[in-house]
Amino acid sequence: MRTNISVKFHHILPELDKKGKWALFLLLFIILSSFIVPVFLNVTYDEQNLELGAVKPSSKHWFGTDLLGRDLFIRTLYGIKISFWVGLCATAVALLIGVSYGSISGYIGGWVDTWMMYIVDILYTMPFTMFVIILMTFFGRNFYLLFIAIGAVEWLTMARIVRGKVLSIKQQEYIYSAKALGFSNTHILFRHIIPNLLNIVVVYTTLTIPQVILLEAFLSFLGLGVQPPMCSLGVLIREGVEVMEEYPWLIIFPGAIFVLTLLLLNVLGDSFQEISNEKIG
Amino acid sequence: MKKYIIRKLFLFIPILLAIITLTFFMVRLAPGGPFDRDKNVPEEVQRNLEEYYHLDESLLKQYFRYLYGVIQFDFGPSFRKPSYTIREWIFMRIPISFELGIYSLIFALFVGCTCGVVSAFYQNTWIDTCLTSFAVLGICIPSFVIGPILVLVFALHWEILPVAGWDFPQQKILPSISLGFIYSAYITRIIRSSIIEVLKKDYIRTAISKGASVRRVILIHTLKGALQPLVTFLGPATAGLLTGSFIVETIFQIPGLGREFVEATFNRDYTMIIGIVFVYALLILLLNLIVDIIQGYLDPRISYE
Repeated sequence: MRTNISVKFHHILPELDKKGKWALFLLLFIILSSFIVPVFLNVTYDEQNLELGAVKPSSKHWFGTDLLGRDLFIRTLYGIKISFWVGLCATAVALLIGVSYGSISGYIGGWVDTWMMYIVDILYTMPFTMFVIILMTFFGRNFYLLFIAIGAVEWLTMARIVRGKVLSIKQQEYIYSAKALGFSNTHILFRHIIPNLLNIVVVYTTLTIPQVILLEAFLSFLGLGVQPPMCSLGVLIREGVEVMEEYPWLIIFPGAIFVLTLLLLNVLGDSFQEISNEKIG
Repeated sequence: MKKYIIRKLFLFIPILLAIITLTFFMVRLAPGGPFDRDKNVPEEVQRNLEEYYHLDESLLKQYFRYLYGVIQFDFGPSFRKPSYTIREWIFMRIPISFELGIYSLIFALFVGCTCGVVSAFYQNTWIDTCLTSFAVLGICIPSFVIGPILVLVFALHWEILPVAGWDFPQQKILPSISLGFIYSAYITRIIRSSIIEVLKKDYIRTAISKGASVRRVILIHTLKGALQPLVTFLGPATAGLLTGSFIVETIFQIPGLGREFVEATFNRDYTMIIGIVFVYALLILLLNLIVDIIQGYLDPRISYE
């Protein structure tokens, strides 16, 4: 079973359409350069140069510098790195909750399923953005709390999708065979059902990451996300907005990079979704 | 139908109760309090304040007192703005947020529907490519990016529109566009794809073979069929527009409910936070119900069981 699935997954990449391949290529380029480029430069993202202050973009400082004389190019690269970290970790939290909740609900079925899905429906109507804002202001702006808070918001759709898929897998013959062979429910769930969710989970994960990055930037913009001296793209945009009248480049560069990142992630997600609609269904 | 609405309305009660309970304990169990920032309050004043707001009672007693108030739609006095009750304060702020939300909705619907229809009409031409690219790009530009950029261009560079405020009509243009922009991109995508979907249906082929022009078919026959996905999207979107204006209200310094909420959390204004969360939750529930009803009206095949 396992090998069969991994073959399917390897088949996804060559089947990406042209747009998807470009998006993937550019994304990898951006992410890799955010990790590699700072190593070769002799300035760090938080190195201040108060005498220099804010200067326009030049050949020495590609994106200019901010009020404290910090190089915006380095800061943007660092911001990309942090934004992606938050995106990946929070999505992992959402995946963990969503996949386990959805698969348990779908596998057990019956009234347990009805009630578990009913709870998801209720949670959908909750003003979660407000809860996250309250959580972040009241319980300190902890980096790890940020993942958990965002993940706790984004798992709902994942749970629904996974549950639907589990319901259809449950009807497959190999599940009946496994049951007839006397395997325990946990064994069937973890060895036979969850591995078969891989494709749909990959597709939905690529669609969740941009949402998470957006939510993190939203929180950072309100001053509730990543805290200085660390910075994410949201923090850079917030800092830029405050002084955009005098130093417009401080908002233009981080803003453009942020939009570009989201765009690439969304295009990639769309391509994945198209493949899965055609092939995996 | 009537039975469905009544049953749904009854379901509101446990949901709202859960929301209030969750918010109450989340806010109250956190460290810090509303009077932390006041410097050197004499002990007696502090005690009087706590007594006035019942902060000296046990948490459970306060919780039930609060619930009793909520039943009568009374959210108590504000901790930071003592001159008004929360109810008066919310009723003062709601119209502003609503006005902003409605302008943005009109903008999003107008731009989205126009672009969507034109894009579907000129399918696979350069016009279509431009509009679809706009839509793909648009959903990646959140309000906290488009807002400052609009201010930079229209208010600071060309100086034709004011930077912030909410008193004159000119001041309302930029915030409405900032808030509605991302939704207009979504609506463009939805309208385009659902029109193209409907165009494949049999009744459209019939209409065309009977001699109706393509323009007429798109405007009359397909638009009605394409309405349904739009309504599904508009439910949560309208809730988002009417209530989710935390950022836009902060950028443009609009005295609406969203900015009030952000301010209240920073000030730990307990009663204000719970009051605003309650009002938002109620609005979202009502809007979802309205969407359900409209969907049943548009598609009689949907059953309310």
